[in-house]
Amino acid sequence: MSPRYLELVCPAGTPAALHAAVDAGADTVYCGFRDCTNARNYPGLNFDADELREGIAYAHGRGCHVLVAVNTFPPAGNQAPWHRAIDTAADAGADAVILADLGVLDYATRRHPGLRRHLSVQASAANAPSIAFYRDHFGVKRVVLPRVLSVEEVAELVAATGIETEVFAFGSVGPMSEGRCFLSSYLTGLSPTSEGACAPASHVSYVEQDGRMLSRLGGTTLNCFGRGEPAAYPTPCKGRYVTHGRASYLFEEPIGLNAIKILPELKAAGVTALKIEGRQRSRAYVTQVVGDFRKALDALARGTTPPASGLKGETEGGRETFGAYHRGWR
Amino acid sequence: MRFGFATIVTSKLAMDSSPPPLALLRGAATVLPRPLLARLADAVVRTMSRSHPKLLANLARLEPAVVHVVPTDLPYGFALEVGCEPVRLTLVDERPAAAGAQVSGSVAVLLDLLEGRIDSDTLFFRRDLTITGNTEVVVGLRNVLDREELRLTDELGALCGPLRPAARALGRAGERMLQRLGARVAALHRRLHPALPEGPDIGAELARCHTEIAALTARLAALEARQKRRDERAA
Repeated sequence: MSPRYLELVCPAGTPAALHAAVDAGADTVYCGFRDCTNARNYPGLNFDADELREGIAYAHGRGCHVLVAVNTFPPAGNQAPWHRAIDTAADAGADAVILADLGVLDYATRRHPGLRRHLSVQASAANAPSIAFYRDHFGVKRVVLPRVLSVEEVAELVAATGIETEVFAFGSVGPMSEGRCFLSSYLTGLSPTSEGACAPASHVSYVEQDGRMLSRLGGTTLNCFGRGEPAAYPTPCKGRYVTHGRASYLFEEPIGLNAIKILPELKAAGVTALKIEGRQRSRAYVTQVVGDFRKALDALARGTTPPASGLKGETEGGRETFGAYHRGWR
Repeated sequence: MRFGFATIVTSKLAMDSSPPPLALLRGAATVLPRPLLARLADAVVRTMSRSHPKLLANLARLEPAVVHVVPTDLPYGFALEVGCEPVRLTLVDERPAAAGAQVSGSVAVLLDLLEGRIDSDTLFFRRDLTITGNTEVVVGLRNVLDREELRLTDELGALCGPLRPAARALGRAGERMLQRLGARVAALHRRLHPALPEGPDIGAELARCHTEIAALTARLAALEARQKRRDERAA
């Protein structure tokens, strides 16, 4: 068996998706609870305590690790759900928890010192002093880096901090400082960082009009797609805005991140793990994306050329980019 | 350990991953009398309450709403009432007045979605799936369905009781026959219209141009903005 090239960390929004990820070749699966304690708090999604226990047993039985995201920020005076989530994850045998809030990190450090702690991308730690702070004060073993760094900047952070880094390999391109989607808060009155959804489904609507589709968030029209034009998520950062009489994507185009062709660069930068985004996507997506990345990683571990990836159809807008890895943060 | 014939047959059926008999299902859904189809829909939901109790419980836990499911290649739709017990599925000709949301796509797309063969966001990006109305209900429904391994043909087969293997074999034979018939009709159509050249798909070409223009416009705007920032910095 070839040595591991990079750890493949895969999403599971449901127990079925967890099974799909493990079966498709994930090294590690991440998931969250059915409440506001994780940043993918959508209806019908996520795990209860029993489902987590069963999922962990299934994954561990096949040599796969399970991480539990408790990565939103508790409001003042209501920390109990976050503390309960940490306790439940520890009790269920999770391999690590993914945290963002300082108070939650402090609780996990003191109450469950043996439980491995990862720093969520929601903490938006993108420089060495910030990462070192979490490493030194809360014994954080791994940081999930925001999607705003070039490969060179990732390499510098790895060298400067000396802890494991996990980077996004497939999913959305986030032009905002991660976890600080103020435009979404402005349009919906809800906070992505404390309520767990950047475009809450309760505030999203689509309207069909003469073959065109309007996408709206909180009553504000963010885009209008022509007949047959690939659609995108109704997120403010991917909205098409009219300025100087012309509609254009001011912040980011509807395009998906796919780093499958630059895995050797990420490996050379010292990255430990690759994160596949998509807990809100289906098990069919998980099977497809994890399967393609597994084949690519196995080929690279053997020293052979990875097979061509066919993931373009899975990306937002039907287009792919290396995001900030090659162009930096614009 | 001894395996009886019935056990082997059942396990083979459970593991069957062959594509659904689309032509047969679409054909039956088109020609069967409406009252019979309505009773069939009701019976399938009742069967699923036994074969997938967790699914029905999760559907009942959603916010109360009516989701209108519209197969674009059938002359009618379905109204799925969730957030209540029992969950109800009824045949409807028009969108019910109380419908909270509507999901539409071809029979093939809706079946792929129901059985977890394709991702709904992927279908949405491609514009093969249309969602209007209460998005939260649709997202909840999608997530609840994706938790379960469903096969519509298994649920229909379960209605046949002990005759299930025979019904399945009959279904496969019917599907093959319909596919052959479809191919023959297509060949006949081509022979009847030999002068009609195979022209380009103008609709698809137009859509491609729209997409390309939108992407180029966006890139141009980004380049202009970048240049403006550079000019400002230089100044």
